[in-house]
This record gives sequence, C-alpha cells and structure tokens, in this order.
Amino acid sequence: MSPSPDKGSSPGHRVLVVDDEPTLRLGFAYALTGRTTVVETAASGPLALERLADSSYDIMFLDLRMPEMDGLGVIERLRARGDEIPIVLCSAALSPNAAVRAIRHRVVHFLLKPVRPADLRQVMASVLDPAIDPLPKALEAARKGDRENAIRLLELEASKCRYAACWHRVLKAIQEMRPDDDLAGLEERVRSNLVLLAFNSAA
Amino acid sequence: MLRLKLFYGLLTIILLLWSVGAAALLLMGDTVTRFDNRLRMDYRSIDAAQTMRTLTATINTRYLPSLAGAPTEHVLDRTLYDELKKEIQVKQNIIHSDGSNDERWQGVVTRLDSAVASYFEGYETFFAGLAQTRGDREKLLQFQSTQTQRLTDLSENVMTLAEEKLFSGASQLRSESGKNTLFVGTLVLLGTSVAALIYFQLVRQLVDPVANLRRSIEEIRNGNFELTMPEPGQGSEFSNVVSAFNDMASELKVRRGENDESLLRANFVNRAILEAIPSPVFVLGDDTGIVQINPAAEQLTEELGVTGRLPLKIQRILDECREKSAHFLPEDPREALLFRIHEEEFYYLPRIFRFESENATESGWAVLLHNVSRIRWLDDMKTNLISTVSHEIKTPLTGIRMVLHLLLEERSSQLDEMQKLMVTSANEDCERLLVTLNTLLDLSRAESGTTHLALAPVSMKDSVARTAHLYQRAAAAGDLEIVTEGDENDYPQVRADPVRLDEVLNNLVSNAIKHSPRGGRVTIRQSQPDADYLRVSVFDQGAGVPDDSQSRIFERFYRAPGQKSDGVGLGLFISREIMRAHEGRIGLRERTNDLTEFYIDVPIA
Repeated sequence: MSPSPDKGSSPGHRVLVVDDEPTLRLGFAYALTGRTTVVETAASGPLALERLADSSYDIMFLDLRMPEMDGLGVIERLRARGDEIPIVLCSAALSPNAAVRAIRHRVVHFLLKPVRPADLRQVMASVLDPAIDPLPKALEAARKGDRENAIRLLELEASKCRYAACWHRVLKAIQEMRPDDDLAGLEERVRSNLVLLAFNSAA
Repeated sequence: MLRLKLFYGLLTIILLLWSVGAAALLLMGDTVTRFDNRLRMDYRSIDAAQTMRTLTATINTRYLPSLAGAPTEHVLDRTLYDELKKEIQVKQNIIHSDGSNDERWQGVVTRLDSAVASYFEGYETFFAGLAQTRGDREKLLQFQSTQTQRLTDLSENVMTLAEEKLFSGASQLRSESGKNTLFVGTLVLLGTSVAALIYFQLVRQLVDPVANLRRSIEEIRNGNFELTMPEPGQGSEFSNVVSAFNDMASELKVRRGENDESLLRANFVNRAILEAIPSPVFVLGDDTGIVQINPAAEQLTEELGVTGRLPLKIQRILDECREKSAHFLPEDPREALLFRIHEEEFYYLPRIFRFESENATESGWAVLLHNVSRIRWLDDMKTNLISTVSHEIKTPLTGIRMVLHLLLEERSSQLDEMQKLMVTSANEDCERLLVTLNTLLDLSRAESGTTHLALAPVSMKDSVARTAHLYQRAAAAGDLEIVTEGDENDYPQVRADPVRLDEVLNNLVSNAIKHSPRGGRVTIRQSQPDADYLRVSVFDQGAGVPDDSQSRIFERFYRAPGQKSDGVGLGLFISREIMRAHEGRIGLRERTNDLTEFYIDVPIA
C-alpha cells in the first residue's frame, strides 16, 4: 500500500496475493505490506499466472477455492512451467486430497482461514527467512524438493513437537508412495495428520 | 328292532332243531314198530307153519299105524284128532291173517289150505271107516302120506316165504332209513342256511353300523364335517347312535363354519389394514418364510426384481435380529437402506419386530419398510443448505475479520477510544459468528459424513495425545491442567475414523475446559470396560450437568439453561452422531467425587 523501500537495509520482498475476495485481498495486502515488502494482488488464478509470467515474486499467498481456476490448478501450471516460487496455500478447509496434491507439488505451507494478520506475517517470515530452527529448515527442504533431507530433519523433531511429527509422517508416506499407487490409500493413512499440517491449526 | 330279529332268528333255529329231532324220533319209532310187526307176523307165520307140521306129525303118529295094520273093529278115538284139527285150523288162520298181498304167498297159502283140506278129508274118510279093505286102507295111507308130505312141503314154503318176507322187510326198512337220513340231512341243511342268513343279517345290522361309525369318526377327525351317516332302518338300535352322530357332525360343521367365518373376517380385516398401509409390510414366520405381504411390498419386491422375497439387505438385518432375538426399530432416517428402482434412489427405514401370540405358541416377524426418501431428501437439502449458506457467509466474514484485526493492530493510525470500542465489539461479534458457522458446518459434515466413515484400526493413545496437545494452549489460558491416564496400558487398537474420533475427543475436552473452574484439572483416562470396547473418559471439576438437562444434552441445539459460554449446542449432538456411526457409545456418568465424567466407548478393532 505504502511501501517505503528506501528505508530498509535488507532487499525488499515482492509478494503476490491471489484471492477472489476483494476484502481479503485488501486485508492480506495491508497486513503484509511493510517497509521493504511490496504486495501485489490478483483476483483469479489466470490473472495470477499472467502476473507471475511478467515479473518475479518472492512468495505467493494463494487461495485454494476460487472460481475459474482453483489454487491447485494454479500450482500445477506454475510447477509445470518450472516456476518454483514459494507458495502459501490458504483455504477454509484442507481436504486430504488437496493437501497431498499440494505437497507433491512442493507446496508445504498451509493457512487455515480465517487468518490473523500475525499468522500471515509469521508464515511469510518463516518462508522468506527460514530460521535456524529445524522445523522451518525441514519445510524449506521439502519445498525445494529435497524430501529426504526434510524427513531426516523432521525425524529429530518428531518426538518433541506434534506439528513436526505430523509432517514427518505425511512426508514419509508420500515419499514411500510409488507413482502408480492409489492416492486414496495414502490419504487414508495420513488423513488424521492432515488437519495439523496448517501453520495456524494449533491456534 | 335288532333284539326282535335276533330272537326270531334264534327261534327259527330252535324250531328247526326241535323239528329235526322230532322227525328223527318219529321216523325211528315208526320203523321200529313196523319192523316189530313184520317180525311178529312172520314169526307167527313161521311158528304156525312149524306147529302145523308138528301137529300133523302127531296126528299121523297117533292114527296112521292103525291104518297100516289090519282093520279093527273098535272105533278109534277121534278126540285127539279133533283137538289137533282145531289147533291146525287156528294156525291156518294165523297164516291167513298175515294179509300179505304177495302173489307167491297167496299161492302157497291157497295150496296149503287145499292140502290141509285134503288131509282132513283123508282122516274124515278114515274115521268114517270107509276104508275097510286092505287096498283101500293102503290107498288111504298112501294118500295121507302124500298129503302130509305136501303139507310139510307147503309149511316149509310158508316158512321160507315168511323168512324171505322178513328179509325183504329189513331191506325195505334200510331203504326207508336212507330216505329218513336224506330228510334229516335236508332239515339240517335248511337249519344251517337259516343260521347263515341270520349271521349275515346280524352282521349287516350290528357290525356294519359300527364299522360305518368308526369310518365316519375317522373322517371327522380328518376334518370332513360334510359327511353324514346313512340312516339305518326304522327301529334300529343304531338309529339313535347315528342320528346323535349326525347331530354332532352337523354341530361341528356349524361351529367350524362360525370359526371359518370369524377367521375370514379377521383375515379380511387384516388384509384391509395391510392394504391400507402405504409402506411395504412383510409378515414372516419364525423361519423367516413369508406368510403375508401387502400390495406395497409386492410392488416393491417386483420392482427390485425379487418378487415375493425379502430384499437381501433386509434379510441380513432380519437374520441379525433373529440371532439376538431382538427388535430392530431405528428412528433415524439416516439408518434407512438405499434401494435403486428405475435409476431412482429410494430410502426405506426397516422396522423389524418380533411378535408372539399370547400363549407363545405362534411367533414370527413383521417387517415394515418406511419410505423415508422424502425425509432424507429434505434432510439432505437442509444439510446442504446449512453447508452452502455457512460457507457463503464464512468467506466474506473472514475478510471482515481480517480487516477488523488489522484495524485493531493500529499499525498505520491510532483509533480513538470510541472507535476502538466499536471495532473490538464488532470483532467479538465476528468471532462468535465464525464459531457458530463452524459448528453449523460441523453439523452438516456430521450429518452428511457419518455414513461415510473411513474406518481403520486406530491407536486410541495417539488420538488422546493429539487432543491433549491441541488443547494445551486453551487449557493454559484458563489456568487448567490436562492430564492423561491409562496411557501406559497396552490397549488394543480401536476401529474408528481417526478424524471423527479426534473430533469427538476434541469436543469432550473442549467442553471440559469450558466448564472447568480456573486452576482446575481435566483428566483424559483410557480404560477397557469389556472385551468389545475401549473407553475414554474425560473428567472435569466443573459444576456438572443439571439433573433435568442430563437427558437432553445430546440433543441437537440443546443448551443447558443459564450457560454463558458460546456455541450453539451441537457439539455433543455431533459427537453422539459420530459415535453412533461407529457403533460405539457416548454418555454422561453419574457424578462422583465432584467430578463430571463424559465417556465414549469405541469398538475394538
């Protein structure tokens, strides 16, 4: 909204918010906009794809449920054209099917709507600047497609933290799955863990 | 009159017996008399002939020597001669008296008479003394010898003939006795045939009715009341019996007619009732063979292609009911069974009940299929509507909430007091609305989702741990402690949908937290009450559920009066729905040690 890039020492981040709800777009943009952060919005999947083709962004907040093209559609097209932009998938409810598909496309950050501004900023920070904590590190590895490393990192954390344990189990299940395996079977195995995968689920 | 017949029959036989006896006696007497007479007659004839010979010999002995000698002067005494002559004549008469008509006999007798007459003539000549000369005397002697010889021969003849007659009489008697035998035999035969006649009559009169009676009783026992026994003749002893029997048969017929009629009426009423019921109804015997079905059931089975049989799905439930010997009376339309008829879906709620006659001799099953398709449709519509509306409201609400949160953050500009108060209030309303919407969504999810459980072996321990972890923060906010007990036990896995199970546990723990006093403790305890279930109890130290609310807390939208906490009263209802779908149990235990205990029993895998 009122970015002031000149004041920050760190290089500014470019954020894309994709949501069909105008108020949410407005709110997201307002919440995320900072001194060094520039937020742009897109009202639909195709528009978002257009924007991503034109310029590069550091992170994208993507709504799952949208008319025309849903979040998963956007993810699949992006990944298909080799765009590995970090994506935070926002939705009112996370279905096992959607979660598994997203994870397989290296989307590992989920936000359950309604979202608090603080959650938004927190998740953005953890994606753009993963701390030395093993958990964000593991998620980053997963996001980058290094699932084995992610699993290894999560294994250490699993006993301490349920969130990590869930991720560990889900990633392992996906890792062990062969391409021709039944997706429903996998969903069944990780189903109970999926609700906990969202960044703000424990809140 | 059988008695009279019997009497007459026997009388005839007795009379025959008597007459046979009398005839035999008479015949025998007659024969004896006749034989006796003959014997006597012949004997007399023989005796007479013999005597005649003797007498002539005596006469000759007395008088003939004088004839042989020289003629004498003195007259011979003829007294002896006269005496013997009379005797001879008597004997002659005796022989005459044997008035036999035999020609030979008559000839012999006539010749004997002439011989006797010649003999006596000779002696008269002698006594007259006419034969004085020697020649004459010799002539006379010769003559008398000849006559005597003749007489002797004839007597001999008479005797022979008499003997012959005696023999012929005996043979005649023999032949007559043969005739008598024939006569007696005939009489005996006659008696025998009369006796046979009487026997057959008696059989007809006495045995046949008894046999008929037995046959008729047999028929009646077999249920043939139409039978009547033929009336026997007038005056028969059996006429009473037969008419009594026929009366009984017709009485039975009438009774049965009444029974049949009342049965028919009852049957008619039953059919009318069954036909009036628009739902398919099957009445089955104890062996689940179909006894009766109503037109609606007929139509349903026809449309399902199982004409006249119970659809398989229902048969299975019925078999279960039979095993447990229990009714199956679900109320919830969601327990309805789906039937596809002509590409259309129909939901029938099966209601199966066992019935028994008062004396427990008859029993069976009644299956009523209540068509709840419309209710299901409406219910689905409602659920869909709630779901859709909630989603539609929730989406803009998240935007509003976002904005309110941002305003309250006061990042770019400060709000004055009034503004802050208003935005805070709006935010609170917004939060409450969100909770309500979430609950409504849960409800629609519960209602549409409980039938599609993803059941799998699940570790209850994990589920409890997830819940405890999830509420750690909320509990800490209320200065509460969440304690788990029974983790250390190695309980078997349960058969559950993990997501749904978590939902129930979350709900119970969330309720417990809500109702706990500050600084209290919420305990989640696992136990195994029996072989089939694993139990999780959630204890809180709150005030407990008011008595009059206890029975209603699991109802939809029910909230105990005086509760200030948020929510729309669906949590326990949804939990109950989920547990029901798991074939598990959920409940509130009696309060002990100031602890409120809610529990769930989940079937062991």
